[in-house]
Amino acid sequence: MMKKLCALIVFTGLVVGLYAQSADITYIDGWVDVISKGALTEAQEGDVLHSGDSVITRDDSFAELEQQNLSTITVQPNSIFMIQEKEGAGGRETVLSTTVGEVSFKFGKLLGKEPAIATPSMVAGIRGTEFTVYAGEDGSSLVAVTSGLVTVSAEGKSVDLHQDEGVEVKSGEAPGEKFKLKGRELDFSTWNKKKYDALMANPVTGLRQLGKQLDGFIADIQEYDTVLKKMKADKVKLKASWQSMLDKGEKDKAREFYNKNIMPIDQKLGPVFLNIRYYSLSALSFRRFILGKVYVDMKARYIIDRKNEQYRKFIDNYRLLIGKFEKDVVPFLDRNDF
Amino acid sequence: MKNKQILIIFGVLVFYAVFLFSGCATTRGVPREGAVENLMELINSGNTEMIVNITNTPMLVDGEMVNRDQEVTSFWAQVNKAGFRIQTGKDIRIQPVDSDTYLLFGDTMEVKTFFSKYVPKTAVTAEIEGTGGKYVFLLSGRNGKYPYLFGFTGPVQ
Repeated sequence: MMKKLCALIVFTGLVVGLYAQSADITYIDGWVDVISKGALTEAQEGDVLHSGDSVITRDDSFAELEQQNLSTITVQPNSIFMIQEKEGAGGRETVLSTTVGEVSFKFGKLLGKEPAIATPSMVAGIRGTEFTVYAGEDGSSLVAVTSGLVTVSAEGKSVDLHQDEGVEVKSGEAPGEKFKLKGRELDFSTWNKKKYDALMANPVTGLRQLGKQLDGFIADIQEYDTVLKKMKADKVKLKASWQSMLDKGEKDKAREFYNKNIMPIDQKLGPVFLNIRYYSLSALSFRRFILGKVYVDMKARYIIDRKNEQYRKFIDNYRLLIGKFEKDVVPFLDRNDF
Repeated sequence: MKNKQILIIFGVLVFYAVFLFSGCATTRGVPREGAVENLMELINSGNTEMIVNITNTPMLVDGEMVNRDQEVTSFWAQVNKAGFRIQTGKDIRIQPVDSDTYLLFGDTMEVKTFFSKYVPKTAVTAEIEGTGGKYVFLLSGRNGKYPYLFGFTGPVQ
């Protein structure tokens, strides 16, 4: 997972400029919901979405969003799309995440830094691009490029997609072989149904794959948390030395020491914290919209056959995953995130 | 003196009006046994479309928040297809929601937050005998003769 982030950082580090971290809802067809600061409300044209906000479309609705650099994002029916922020090598960047469903992107070529694109199973760097991301309910992803360049990364491997090329990233795996679109449009519903039916045909194995994805988010949270704790501990020690200099009346030496040793830590604390937030919110979205859906489906299917062996195994494994989420992710979330 | 009497009478009328209307709102908000029985019959009828109409989004199924209408529809359709039925004529235990009710659904942050954000203060739980055990419905308000459904869990001990 960390390799995945590194690939993204290398790519985004090449791109300069500032990218807008909000999006305006410019068009709505049907009923669309927005989750903002944990509250679910009906979306209206003209609403401004900020980092952490999600858009949820229904069977018969879709939404169009526009960013300040004139990029257009179309959230197709039955989709969940979220705007997030993360710290990359080039500074703070927007991550446009498709948790479930189909989202099309069209970015201007000349107007500054473009965001990263993410689904639960991959991240992608883009340049002057028009493409569509499909995030399946089994945690898999499909990326199809109409024009420009998209670099899809997952599990430490990357694939460059050019015009009329696509790639599938299965849950918890590296990108597969890329394929030619040959002018045809991909049918998300059929692809998604096939993937989800396969998961439900063997829910215990499917849940294991989903568990690997949750483990990936947790590993990233823990990695950044370790860095954060070390930085905080270092800062405490350094501040003690700085205070000692001040106590001895060595003001100039103390100032120089502060600027050289403590200030750089302060500057790095925020970005590290931001990345912990990014992975924690991604894990929450994954738990709620992917894991939760599978659980609810299993519950309904086996509601009068709860002694079924497959169901029992599924429930046991599911409880372990939720326990892991409560222990390893929830402490990093705010009540308003839910 | 006359002005003072008018003021007192006006004040008393305002007090009664506030009392009356707030009382009505509360009464309308709390589902009674008759409305719960109507809901049970509706579930047994397999009329998924109507069940979906009275289901709030988001809805809680055990410890999981169901946020999309498509998933609410799919859930009730599957429950019906699986053959789940309520045993009518049995005792229905209705209790107002309190600070511990969320534990019936799960001791997680997701459940706690759902109760604090989406469950009205006038909500009740209805414990009902269903296929294979007792089930709990989380209900509030009214849509015609049915209460709104906010959550479903079970079997419970």
